[in-house]
Amino acid sequence: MSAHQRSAGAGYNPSSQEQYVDVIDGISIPPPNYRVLVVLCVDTSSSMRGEAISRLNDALQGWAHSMNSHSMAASTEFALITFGAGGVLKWRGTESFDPRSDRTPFVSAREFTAPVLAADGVTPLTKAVRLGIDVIEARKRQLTQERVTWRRPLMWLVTDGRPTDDRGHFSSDWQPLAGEIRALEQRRKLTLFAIGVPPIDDVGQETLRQLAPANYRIYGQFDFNEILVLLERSVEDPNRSIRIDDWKES
Amino acid sequence: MPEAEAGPRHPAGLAGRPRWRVRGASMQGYDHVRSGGWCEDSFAHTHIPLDDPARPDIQILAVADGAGSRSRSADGSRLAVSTALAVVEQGIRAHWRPESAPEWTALLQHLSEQVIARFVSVARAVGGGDKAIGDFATTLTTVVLAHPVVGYFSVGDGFVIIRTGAGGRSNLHLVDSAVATAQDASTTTFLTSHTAGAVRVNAIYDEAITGVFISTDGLAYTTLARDDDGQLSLVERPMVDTVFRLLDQDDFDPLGLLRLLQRDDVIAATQDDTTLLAAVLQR
Repeated sequence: MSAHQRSAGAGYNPSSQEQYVDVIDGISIPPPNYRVLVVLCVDTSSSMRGEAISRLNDALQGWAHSMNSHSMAASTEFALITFGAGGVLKWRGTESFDPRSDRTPFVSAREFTAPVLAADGVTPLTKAVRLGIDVIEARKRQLTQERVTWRRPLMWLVTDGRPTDDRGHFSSDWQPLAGEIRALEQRRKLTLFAIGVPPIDDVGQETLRQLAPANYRIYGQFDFNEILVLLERSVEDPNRSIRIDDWKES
Repeated sequence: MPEAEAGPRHPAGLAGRPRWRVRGASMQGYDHVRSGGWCEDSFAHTHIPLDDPARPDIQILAVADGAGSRSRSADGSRLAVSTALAVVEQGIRAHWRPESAPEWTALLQHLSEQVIARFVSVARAVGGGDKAIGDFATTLTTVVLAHPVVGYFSVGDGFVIIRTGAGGRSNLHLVDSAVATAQDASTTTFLTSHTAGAVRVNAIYDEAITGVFISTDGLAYTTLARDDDGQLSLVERPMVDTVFRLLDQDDFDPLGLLRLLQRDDVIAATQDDTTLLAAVLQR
Protein backbone atom coordinates (compact mmCIF):
# COMPACT_ATOMS: atom_id res chain seq x y z
CA MET A 1 0.00 0.00 0.00
CA SER A 2 1.42 3.36 -0.95
CA ALA A 3 1.88 6.26 1.40
CA HIS A 4 -0.78 8.11 -0.51
CA GLN A 5 -3.27 5.30 -0.07
CA ARG A 6 -2.49 5.04 3.61
CA SER A 7 -3.16 8.74 3.98
CA ALA A 8 -6.72 8.14 2.81
CA GLY A 9 -7.54 7.20 6.38
CA ALA A 10 -9.67 4.58 8.03
CA GLY A 11 -12.32 4.78 5.33
CA TYR A 12 -9.96 3.49 2.66
CA ASN A 13 -11.23 0.30 1.14
CA PRO A 14 -9.51 -1.30 -1.84
CA SER A 15 -12.71 -2.74 -3.15
CA SER A 16 -14.24 0.73 -3.12
CA GLN A 17 -11.33 2.14 -5.14
CA GLU A 18 -11.81 -0.60 -7.70
CA GLN A 19 -15.46 0.31 -7.91
CA TYR A 20 -14.51 3.95 -8.44
CA VAL A 21 -12.25 2.93 -11.31
CA ASP A 22 -15.23 1.18 -12.88
CA VAL A 23 -17.34 4.30 -12.37
CA ILE A 24 -14.70 6.53 -13.95
CA ASP A 25 -14.21 4.21 -16.89
CA GLY A 26 -17.97 4.10 -17.34
CA ILE A 27 -18.48 7.86 -17.56
CA SER A 28 -20.08 8.74 -20.85
CA ILE A 29 -17.99 11.12 -22.93
CA PRO A 30 -19.94 12.54 -25.85
CA PRO A 31 -18.29 12.78 -29.26
CA PRO A 32 -16.66 16.15 -29.92
CA ASN A 33 -19.21 18.85 -30.69
CA TYR A 34 -16.72 21.05 -32.49
CA ARG A 35 -14.81 20.79 -35.72
CA VAL A 36 -11.46 21.81 -37.03
CA LEU A 37 -11.90 22.63 -40.71
CA VAL A 38 -8.78 22.15 -42.81
CA VAL A 39 -8.51 22.97 -46.50
CA LEU A 40 -5.63 21.44 -48.38
CA CYS A 41 -5.15 23.55 -51.49
CA VAL A 42 -2.68 21.84 -53.80
CA ASP A 43 -1.01 22.86 -57.04
CA THR A 44 -1.44 20.23 -59.79
CA SER A 45 -0.23 22.37 -62.68
CA SER A 46 1.92 20.95 -65.44
CA SER A 47 5.17 21.94 -63.72
CA MET A 48 4.33 19.38 -61.01
CA ARG A 49 4.66 16.53 -63.51
CA GLY A 50 7.05 13.72 -62.77
CA GLU A 51 8.72 13.36 -59.41
CA ALA A 52 6.72 16.11 -57.71
CA ILE A 53 3.23 14.74 -58.36
CA SER A 54 4.43 11.20 -57.73
CA ARG A 55 5.83 12.11 -54.31
CA LEU A 56 2.75 14.16 -53.51
CA ASN A 57 0.47 11.22 -54.29
CA ASP A 58 2.55 8.85 -52.20
CA ALA A 59 2.57 11.24 -49.25
CA LEU A 60 -1.17 11.90 -49.47
CA GLN A 61 -2.01 8.19 -49.58
CA GLY A 62 0.01 7.37 -46.49
CA TRP A 63 -1.11 10.45 -44.63
CA ALA A 64 -4.80 9.83 -45.35
CA HIS A 65 -4.48 6.32 -43.98
CA SER A 66 -2.82 7.53 -40.78
CA MET A 67 -5.39 10.28 -40.29
CA ASN A 68 -8.31 7.83 -40.39
CA SER A 69 -7.43 6.49 -36.95
CA HIS A 70 -5.79 9.58 -35.49
CA SER A 71 -6.92 10.77 -32.08
CA MET A 72 -8.22 13.97 -33.64
CA ALA A 73 -10.08 12.25 -36.46
CA ALA A 74 -13.48 12.60 -34.81
CA SER A 75 -13.27 16.39 -34.68
CA THR A 76 -11.38 17.20 -37.87
CA GLU A 77 -12.70 17.62 -41.40
CA PHE A 78 -10.56 17.91 -44.50
CA ALA A 79 -11.35 19.46 -47.85
CA LEU A 80 -9.07 18.91 -50.82
CA ILE A 81 -8.96 21.53 -53.55
CA THR A 82 -6.60 21.29 -56.49
CA PHE A 83 -5.63 23.84 -59.09
CA GLY A 84 -3.98 22.90 -62.34
CA ALA A 85 -5.14 19.71 -64.00
CA GLY A 86 -8.82 20.19 -64.84
CA GLY A 87 -8.74 23.79 -63.58
CA VAL A 88 -9.86 24.35 -60.00
CA LEU A 89 -11.52 21.26 -58.54
CA LYS A 90 -13.18 20.18 -55.31
CA TRP A 91 -12.62 16.61 -54.23
CA ARG A 92 -14.41 14.11 -52.05
CA GLY A 93 -12.33 10.98 -51.86
CA THR A 94 -11.37 9.95 -55.36
CA GLU A 95 -14.16 11.98 -56.96
CA SER A 96 -13.66 15.52 -58.21
CA PHE A 97 -16.53 17.84 -58.97
CA ASP A 98 -17.39 21.28 -60.25
CA PRO A 99 -16.25 24.05 -57.90
CA ARG A 100 -19.56 25.87 -58.55
CA SER A 101 -21.46 22.98 -56.98
CA ASP A 102 -23.03 23.58 -53.57
CA ARG A 103 -21.74 20.23 -52.46
CA THR A 104 -19.19 20.51 -49.67
CA PRO A 105 -15.78 18.96 -50.16
CA PHE A 106 -15.34 18.55 -46.40
CA VAL A 107 -15.18 14.98 -45.15
CA SER A 108 -14.40 13.65 -41.72
CA ALA A 109 -10.76 12.78 -41.17
CA ARG A 110 -11.99 9.28 -40.38
CA GLU A 111 -13.27 8.95 -43.93
CA PHE A 112 -10.67 10.97 -45.78
CA THR A 113 -9.19 9.18 -48.77
CA ALA A 114 -6.68 10.60 -51.18
CA PRO A 115 -7.19 10.55 -54.93
CA VAL A 116 -4.38 9.90 -57.38
CA LEU A 117 -3.70 13.38 -58.68
CA ALA A 118 -2.48 14.18 -62.17
CA ALA A 119 -0.42 17.23 -63.13
CA ASP A 120 -1.42 19.42 -66.04
CA GLY A 121 -2.51 22.91 -66.98
CA VAL A 122 -1.86 26.34 -65.49
CA THR A 123 -1.74 27.74 -61.94
CA PRO A 124 -5.03 29.45 -60.96
CA LEU A 125 -3.86 29.80 -57.37
CA THR A 126 -5.96 32.82 -56.48
CA LYS A 127 -9.18 31.23 -57.65
CA ALA A 128 -8.38 28.09 -55.66
CA VAL A 129 -7.66 29.97 -52.43
CA ARG A 130 -10.86 31.98 -52.82
CA LEU A 131 -12.75 28.73 -53.33
CA GLY A 132 -11.13 27.44 -50.14
CA ILE A 133 -12.42 30.44 -48.21
CA ASP A 134 -15.88 29.99 -49.71
CA VAL A 135 -16.13 26.30 -48.81
CA ILE A 136 -15.08 27.08 -45.24
CA GLU A 137 -17.81 29.70 -44.90
CA ALA A 138 -20.38 27.35 -46.42
CA ARG A 139 -19.41 24.56 -44.05
CA LYS A 140 -19.59 26.92 -41.08
CA ARG A 141 -23.15 27.79 -42.05
CA GLN A 142 -23.99 24.08 -42.07
CA LEU A 143 -22.34 23.57 -38.69
CA THR A 144 -24.28 26.48 -37.25
CA GLN A 145 -27.50 24.76 -38.29
CA GLU A 146 -26.23 21.57 -36.67
CA ARG A 147 -25.34 23.53 -33.49
CA VAL A 148 -21.73 22.50 -33.76
CA THR A 149 -18.91 24.93 -32.98
CA TRP A 150 -15.59 25.18 -34.74
CA ARG A 151 -12.08 26.23 -34.07
CA ARG A 152 -10.19 28.56 -36.32
CA PRO A 153 -10.16 27.02 -39.82
CA LEU A 154 -6.83 26.28 -41.44
CA MET A 155 -5.80 26.40 -45.06
CA TRP A 156 -2.61 24.81 -46.32
CA LEU A 157 -1.52 26.03 -49.73
CA VAL A 158 1.16 24.06 -51.57
CA THR A 159 2.48 25.34 -54.89
CA ASP A 160 5.53 25.29 -57.11
CA GLY A 161 4.92 28.38 -59.18
CA ARG A 162 3.57 31.83 -59.77
CA PRO A 163 -0.18 32.40 -59.88
CA THR A 164 -1.65 32.59 -63.36
CA ASP A 165 -5.02 33.34 -64.84
CA ASP A 166 -7.05 30.63 -66.54
CA ARG A 167 -5.05 31.05 -69.76
CA GLY A 168 -1.67 30.67 -68.13
CA HIS A 169 -0.63 34.31 -68.06
CA PHE A 170 1.14 35.40 -64.91
CA SER A 171 -1.35 37.30 -62.82
CA SER A 172 -1.27 39.74 -59.94
CA ASP A 173 -4.85 38.95 -58.96
CA TRP A 174 -3.52 37.48 -55.69
CA GLN A 175 -2.55 40.92 -54.37
CA PRO A 176 -5.97 41.99 -53.06
CA LEU A 177 -6.37 38.45 -51.71
CA ALA A 178 -3.42 38.99 -49.38
CA GLY A 179 -5.24 41.84 -47.64
CA GLU A 180 -8.43 39.82 -47.39
CA ILE A 181 -6.56 36.95 -45.77
CA ARG A 182 -4.91 39.34 -43.27
CA ALA A 183 -8.36 40.62 -42.31
CA LEU A 184 -9.69 37.08 -41.85
CA GLU A 185 -6.69 36.11 -39.75
CA GLN A 186 -7.03 39.17 -37.55
CA ARG A 187 -10.62 38.15 -36.85
CA ARG A 188 -9.41 34.59 -36.17
CA LYS A 189 -11.52 33.24 -39.01
CA LEU A 190 -8.64 31.63 -40.86
CA THR A 191 -4.97 30.78 -40.68
CA LEU A 192 -3.17 30.32 -43.99
CA PHE A 193 0.01 28.30 -44.32
CA ALA A 194 1.78 28.71 -47.65
CA ILE A 195 4.38 26.22 -48.82
CA GLY A 196 6.60 26.53 -51.89
CA VAL A 197 8.27 23.54 -53.52
CA PRO A 198 10.71 23.40 -56.46
CA PRO A 199 10.93 24.91 -59.02
CA ILE A 200 9.23 27.94 -57.47
CA ASP A 201 11.01 31.14 -58.51
CA ASP A 202 11.67 34.36 -56.63
CA VAL A 203 8.39 35.92 -57.68
CA GLY A 204 6.47 32.85 -56.59
CA GLN A 205 8.25 32.86 -53.25
CA GLU A 206 7.47 36.53 -52.74
CA THR A 207 3.83 35.80 -53.51
CA LEU A 208 3.68 33.19 -50.75
CA ARG A 209 5.46 35.52 -48.34
CA GLN A 210 2.86 38.18 -48.98
CA LEU A 211 -0.03 35.75 -48.66
CA ALA A 212 1.20 34.23 -45.38
CA PRO A 213 3.91 36.42 -43.84
CA ALA A 214 3.99 34.50 -40.55
CA ASN A 215 3.45 31.04 -41.95
CA TYR A 216 5.21 30.54 -45.26
CA ARG A 217 8.09 28.26 -46.04
CA ILE A 218 10.06 27.36 -49.12
CA TYR A 219 11.33 23.82 -49.48
CA GLY A 220 14.30 22.85 -51.58
CA GLN A 221 12.93 19.40 -52.26
CA PHE A 222 9.59 17.59 -52.49
CA ASP A 223 9.30 16.81 -48.81
CA PHE A 224 5.53 16.40 -48.76
CA ASN A 225 5.60 14.00 -45.82
CA GLU A 226 7.21 16.70 -43.71
CA ILE A 227 4.64 19.23 -44.87
CA LEU A 228 1.79 16.93 -43.89
CA VAL A 229 3.32 16.36 -40.46
CA LEU A 230 3.35 20.11 -39.95
CA LEU A 231 -0.27 20.25 -41.07
CA GLU A 232 -1.16 17.58 -38.53
CA ARG A 233 0.55 19.53 -35.76
CA SER A 234 -1.31 22.67 -36.70
CA VAL A 235 -4.59 20.79 -36.32
CA GLU A 236 -3.61 19.49 -32.90
CA ASP A 237 -2.95 23.03 -31.75
CA PRO A 238 -4.73 25.42 -34.09
CA ASN A 239 -3.74 28.45 -32.06
CA ARG A 240 -0.03 27.76 -32.08
CA SER A 241 1.94 29.95 -34.38
CA ILE A 242 4.25 28.16 -36.73
CA ARG A 243 7.50 29.79 -35.80
CA ILE A 244 10.63 29.42 -37.79
CA ASP A 245 12.13 27.01 -35.26
CA ASP A 246 9.11 24.74 -35.62
CA TRP A 247 10.07 24.05 -39.19
CA LYS A 248 12.58 21.55 -40.36
CA GLU A 249 14.97 23.13 -42.80
CA SER A 250 14.90 21.33 -46.11
CA MET B 1 3.00 16.97 -16.21
CA PRO B 2 -0.13 15.44 -14.71
CA GLU B 3 -1.17 16.66 -11.32
CA ALA B 4 -3.79 15.63 -8.85
CA GLU B 5 -4.03 16.79 -5.32
CA ALA B 6 -6.02 15.74 -2.37
CA GLY B 7 -6.38 18.96 -0.46
CA PRO B 8 -6.36 19.24 3.32
CA ARG B 9 -7.87 16.52 5.43
CA HIS B 10 -10.63 17.47 7.78
CA PRO B 11 -9.27 18.87 11.01
CA ALA B 12 -10.31 17.04 14.10
CA GLY B 13 -12.86 18.57 16.40
CA LEU B 14 -15.04 20.13 13.70
CA ALA B 15 -17.38 17.21 13.23
CA GLY B 16 -20.85 18.29 12.22
CA ARG B 17 -19.78 21.58 10.73
CA PRO B 18 -20.41 21.96 6.98
CA ARG B 19 -17.23 22.09 4.96
CA TRP B 20 -16.10 22.10 1.38
CA ARG B 21 -14.08 19.23 -0.02
CA VAL B 22 -11.94 20.51 -2.90
CA ARG B 23 -10.15 18.28 -5.37
CA GLY B 24 -8.40 19.01 -8.63
CA ALA B 25 -6.44 17.46 -11.47
CA SER B 26 -4.58 18.67 -14.51
CA MET B 27 -3.18 16.80 -17.50
CA GLN B 28 -1.18 17.97 -20.47
CA GLY B 29 -2.72 17.50 -23.88
CA TYR B 30 -1.71 14.96 -26.49
CA ASP B 31 0.44 17.36 -28.42
CA HIS B 32 2.36 18.36 -25.30
CA VAL B 33 2.84 14.74 -24.27
CA ARG B 34 4.23 13.87 -27.67
CA SER B 35 6.57 16.84 -27.82
CA GLY B 36 7.65 16.63 -24.18
CA GLY B 37 6.07 20.00 -23.48
CA TRP B 38 4.76 21.28 -20.21
CA CYS B 39 1.17 21.34 -19.18
CA GLU B 40 0.21 24.97 -19.68
CA ASP B 41 -2.84 24.76 -17.42
CA SER B 42 -2.62 25.48 -13.70
CA PHE B 43 -4.98 25.25 -10.76
CA ALA B 44 -4.79 26.18 -7.11
CA HIS B 45 -7.03 26.75 -4.13
CA THR B 46 -6.86 28.04 -0.62
CA HIS B 47 -9.26 28.74 2.19
CA ILE B 48 -10.02 31.37 4.78
CA PRO B 49 -11.09 29.91 8.14
CA LEU B 50 -14.39 31.12 9.52
CA ASP B 51 -15.29 31.06 13.17
CA ASP B 52 -18.86 30.14 12.41
CA PRO B 53 -20.17 26.68 13.30
CA ALA B 54 -23.02 27.02 10.82
CA ARG B 55 -20.96 27.92 7.78
CA PRO B 56 -18.07 26.31 5.97
CA ASP B 57 -14.77 28.11 5.55
CA ILE B 58 -14.47 30.39 2.56
CA GLN B 59 -12.76 28.69 -0.37
CA ILE B 60 -10.93 30.38 -3.22
CA LEU B 61 -10.40 28.33 -6.38
CA ALA B 62 -8.57 29.28 -9.54
CA VAL B 63 -7.81 27.65 -12.89
CA ALA B 64 -5.77 29.11 -15.74
CA ASP B 65 -4.96 28.06 -19.27
CA GLY B 66 -1.72 29.39 -20.76
CA ALA B 67 -1.88 30.29 -24.45
CA GLY B 68 -0.18 27.53 -26.43
CA SER B 69 1.33 29.97 -28.86
CA ARG B 70 3.23 31.95 -26.21
CA SER B 71 6.67 31.08 -24.97
CA ARG B 72 6.05 31.55 -21.23
CA SER B 73 2.40 30.63 -21.04
CA ALA B 74 3.00 27.85 -18.51
CA ASP B 75 4.66 30.42 -16.27
CA GLY B 76 1.77 32.75 -17.00
CA SER B 77 -0.88 30.28 -15.87
CA ARG B 78 1.00 29.54 -12.66
CA LEU B 79 1.46 33.23 -12.00
CA ALA B 80 -2.22 33.83 -12.67
CA VAL B 81 -3.57 31.32 -10.17
CA SER B 82 -1.08 32.27 -7.46
CA THR B 83 -1.79 35.95 -7.95
CA ALA B 84 -5.53 35.36 -7.88
CA LEU B 85 -5.38 33.42 -4.64
CA ALA B 86 -3.12 35.95 -2.93
CA VAL B 87 -5.04 39.04 -4.01
CA VAL B 88 -8.50 37.59 -3.39
CA GLU B 89 -7.60 36.20 0.02
CA GLN B 90 -6.06 39.49 1.03
CA GLY B 91 -9.05 41.40 -0.32
CA ILE B 92 -11.63 39.27 1.46
CA ARG B 93 -9.76 39.50 4.76
CA ALA B 94 -9.53 43.26 4.37
CA HIS B 95 -13.25 43.65 3.60
CA TRP B 96 -14.48 41.02 6.07
CA ARG B 97 -16.96 40.26 4.53
CA PRO B 98 -19.84 40.96 2.18
CA GLU B 99 -23.11 39.06 2.68
CA SER B 100 -25.28 39.63 -0.37
CA ALA B 101 -24.56 38.53 -3.92
CA PRO B 102 -24.42 42.13 -5.22
CA GLU B 103 -21.90 43.01 -2.53
CA TRP B 104 -19.76 40.04 -3.50
CA THR B 105 -20.02 40.98 -7.15
CA ALA B 106 -18.79 44.48 -6.37
CA LEU B 107 -15.90 43.17 -4.30
CA LEU B 108 -14.88 40.63 -6.94
CA GLN B 109 -15.04 43.27 -9.67
CA HIS B 110 -12.63 45.35 -7.63
CA LEU B 111 -10.36 42.40 -6.86
CA SER B 112 -10.29 41.22 -10.46
CA GLU B 113 -8.84 44.56 -11.46
CA GLN B 114 -6.19 44.19 -8.78
CA VAL B 115 -5.35 40.66 -9.91
CA ILE B 116 -4.88 41.73 -13.52
CA ALA B 117 -2.81 44.76 -12.54
CA ARG B 118 -0.52 42.69 -10.32
CA PHE B 119 -0.23 39.91 -12.92
CA VAL B 120 0.79 42.37 -15.63
CA SER B 121 3.21 44.08 -13.27
CA VAL B 122 4.96 40.83 -12.36
CA ALA B 123 5.00 39.61 -15.98
CA ARG B 124 6.58 42.90 -17.02
CA ALA B 125 9.21 42.67 -14.30
CA VAL B 126 10.04 39.01 -14.88
CA GLY B 127 9.90 39.25 -18.65
CA GLY B 128 12.01 42.37 -18.82
CA GLY B 129 9.62 44.96 -20.20
CA ASP B 130 6.26 45.66 -21.80
CA LYS B 131 7.04 43.67 -24.94
CA ALA B 132 7.46 40.48 -22.90
CA ILE B 133 4.08 40.67 -21.16
CA GLY B 134 2.34 38.91 -24.01
CA ASP B 135 4.61 35.89 -23.60
CA PHE B 136 2.76 35.12 -20.36
CA ALA B 137 -0.68 35.07 -21.99
CA THR B 138 -3.18 33.04 -20.01
CA THR B 139 -6.84 32.82 -19.16
CA LEU B 140 -8.01 32.87 -15.53
CA THR B 141 -11.18 31.78 -13.79
CA THR B 142 -11.43 32.43 -10.06
CA VAL B 143 -14.29 31.29 -7.84
CA VAL B 144 -15.04 32.21 -4.24
CA LEU B 145 -17.22 29.86 -2.20
CA ALA B 146 -18.74 31.86 0.63
CA HIS B 147 -21.73 29.70 1.27
CA PRO B 148 -24.49 30.36 0.38
CA VAL B 149 -22.85 32.72 -2.11
CA VAL B 150 -20.74 31.56 -5.03
CA GLY B 151 -18.92 34.40 -6.76
CA TYR B 152 -16.49 34.39 -9.64
CA PHE B 153 -14.55 36.46 -12.11
CA SER B 154 -13.24 35.08 -15.36
CA VAL B 155 -11.10 36.23 -18.26
CA GLY B 156 -11.04 33.93 -21.28
CA ASP B 157 -12.74 30.65 -21.97
CA GLY B 158 -12.90 28.84 -18.63
CA PHE B 159 -16.31 27.81 -17.40
CA VAL B 160 -18.17 27.36 -14.11
CA ILE B 161 -20.88 24.82 -13.24
CA ILE B 162 -22.90 24.78 -10.01
CA ARG B 163 -24.67 21.81 -8.47
CA THR B 164 -27.75 22.31 -6.37
CA GLY B 165 -29.29 19.73 -4.09
CA ALA B 166 -28.55 16.12 -4.87
CA GLY B 167 -27.34 16.80 -8.40
CA GLY B 168 -28.43 15.08 -11.58
CA ARG B 169 -28.53 16.94 -14.86
CA SER B 170 -31.54 19.09 -13.90
CA ASN B 171 -29.64 20.33 -10.84
CA LEU B 172 -26.47 21.26 -12.70
CA HIS B 173 -26.25 24.84 -13.90
CA LEU B 174 -23.78 26.37 -16.32
CA VAL B 175 -23.34 29.78 -14.77
CA ASP B 176 -20.45 31.05 -16.84
CA SER B 177 -18.88 30.31 -20.19
CA ALA B 178 -17.22 32.64 -22.66
CA VAL B 179 -18.13 30.61 -25.72
CA ALA B 180 -21.54 32.16 -26.23
CA THR B 181 -21.68 31.61 -29.97
CA ALA B 182 -20.18 29.10 -32.34
CA GLN B 183 -18.30 31.91 -34.04
CA ASP B 184 -16.54 32.67 -30.77
CA ALA B 185 -15.26 29.14 -30.30
CA SER B 186 -11.82 29.93 -31.67
CA THR B 187 -11.36 33.23 -29.91
CA THR B 188 -10.45 33.98 -26.36
CA THR B 189 -9.19 36.78 -24.18
CA PHE B 190 -6.11 36.61 -21.97
CA LEU B 191 -5.02 38.51 -18.89
CA THR B 192 -2.44 40.11 -21.15
CA SER B 193 -5.10 41.21 -23.66
CA HIS B 194 -7.00 44.47 -23.54
CA THR B 195 -9.24 43.25 -20.73
CA ALA B 196 -11.44 46.29 -20.25
CA GLY B 197 -14.99 44.97 -20.44
CA ALA B 198 -13.78 41.42 -20.97
CA VAL B 199 -13.86 40.33 -17.34
CA ARG B 200 -17.01 38.43 -16.47
CA VAL B 201 -17.99 38.92 -12.82
CA ASN B 202 -20.99 37.55 -10.99
CA ALA B 203 -22.17 36.18 -7.68
CA ILE B 204 -25.08 33.86 -6.94
CA TYR B 205 -26.90 33.43 -3.64
CA ASP B 206 -28.49 30.01 -3.26
CA GLU B 207 -28.78 27.99 -0.07
CA ALA B 208 -29.20 24.86 -2.20
CA ILE B 209 -25.69 24.98 -3.73
CA THR B 210 -23.82 21.76 -2.97
CA GLY B 211 -21.06 21.73 -5.56
CA VAL B 212 -18.98 23.86 -7.89
CA PHE B 213 -16.95 22.70 -10.87
CA ILE B 214 -14.54 24.95 -12.74
CA SER B 215 -12.42 24.10 -15.72
CA THR B 216 -10.30 25.47 -18.50
CA ASP B 217 -11.66 25.20 -22.03
CA GLY B 218 -10.08 21.78 -22.59
CA LEU B 219 -13.03 20.01 -21.02
CA ALA B 220 -15.70 22.25 -22.50
CA TYR B 221 -16.13 19.93 -25.45
CA THR B 222 -16.82 16.94 -23.21
CA THR B 223 -19.23 18.84 -21.01
CA LEU B 224 -21.13 21.45 -23.00
CA ALA B 225 -23.30 21.34 -26.09
CA ARG B 226 -25.67 23.67 -27.87
CA ASP B 227 -29.36 23.29 -27.19
CA ASP B 228 -32.18 23.75 -29.69
CA ASP B 229 -31.89 27.53 -29.33
CA GLY B 230 -28.17 27.47 -30.05
CA GLN B 231 -27.33 28.27 -26.44
CA LEU B 232 -24.66 26.35 -24.57
CA SER B 233 -25.87 23.92 -21.97
CA LEU B 234 -24.73 20.71 -20.37
CA VAL B 235 -24.61 17.54 -22.42
CA GLU B 236 -27.28 14.91 -21.81
CA ARG B 237 -25.20 12.80 -19.44
CA PRO B 238 -22.64 15.21 -18.02
CA MET B 239 -19.52 13.67 -16.55
CA VAL B 240 -19.54 16.57 -14.08
CA ASP B 241 -22.40 14.88 -12.24
CA THR B 242 -20.37 11.72 -11.75
CA VAL B 243 -17.32 13.71 -10.66
CA PHE B 244 -19.42 15.41 -7.99
CA ARG B 245 -20.79 12.07 -6.79
CA LEU B 246 -17.31 10.59 -6.56
CA LEU B 247 -16.07 13.56 -4.58
CA ASP B 248 -19.00 13.16 -2.21
CA GLN B 249 -17.42 9.88 -1.11
CA ASP B 250 -15.02 10.19 1.80
CA ASP B 251 -12.65 7.55 0.51
CA PHE B 252 -12.48 8.54 -3.14
CA ASP B 253 -8.86 8.77 -4.28
CA PRO B 254 -8.45 12.00 -6.30
CA LEU B 255 -5.96 10.24 -8.56
CA GLY B 256 -9.12 8.86 -10.14
CA LEU B 257 -9.63 12.29 -11.65
CA LEU B 258 -6.37 11.85 -13.56
CA ARG B 259 -7.61 8.51 -14.82
CA LEU B 260 -10.62 10.35 -16.22
CA LEU B 261 -8.47 13.00 -17.92
CA GLN B 262 -6.24 10.28 -19.39
CA ARG B 263 -9.05 8.37 -21.06
CA ASP B 264 -8.57 8.02 -24.81
CA ASP B 265 -11.97 9.47 -25.62
CA VAL B 266 -11.33 12.51 -23.41
CA ILE B 267 -7.97 13.06 -25.11
CA ALA B 268 -9.57 12.66 -28.51
CA ALA B 269 -12.37 15.07 -27.66
CA THR B 270 -10.20 17.78 -26.17
CA GLN B 271 -6.78 17.74 -27.90
CA ASP B 272 -5.75 20.19 -25.22
CA ASP B 273 -4.43 20.42 -21.70
CA THR B 274 -7.28 19.57 -19.36
CA THR B 275 -7.94 20.81 -15.85
CA LEU B 276 -10.79 20.41 -13.44
CA LEU B 277 -11.19 21.76 -9.95
CA ALA B 278 -14.30 20.81 -8.05
CA ALA B 279 -15.73 21.41 -4.60
CA VAL B 280 -18.56 19.56 -2.88
CA LEU B 281 -20.28 20.64 0.28
CA GLN B 282 -20.29 18.14 3.12
CA ARG B 283 -22.86 18.57 5.82
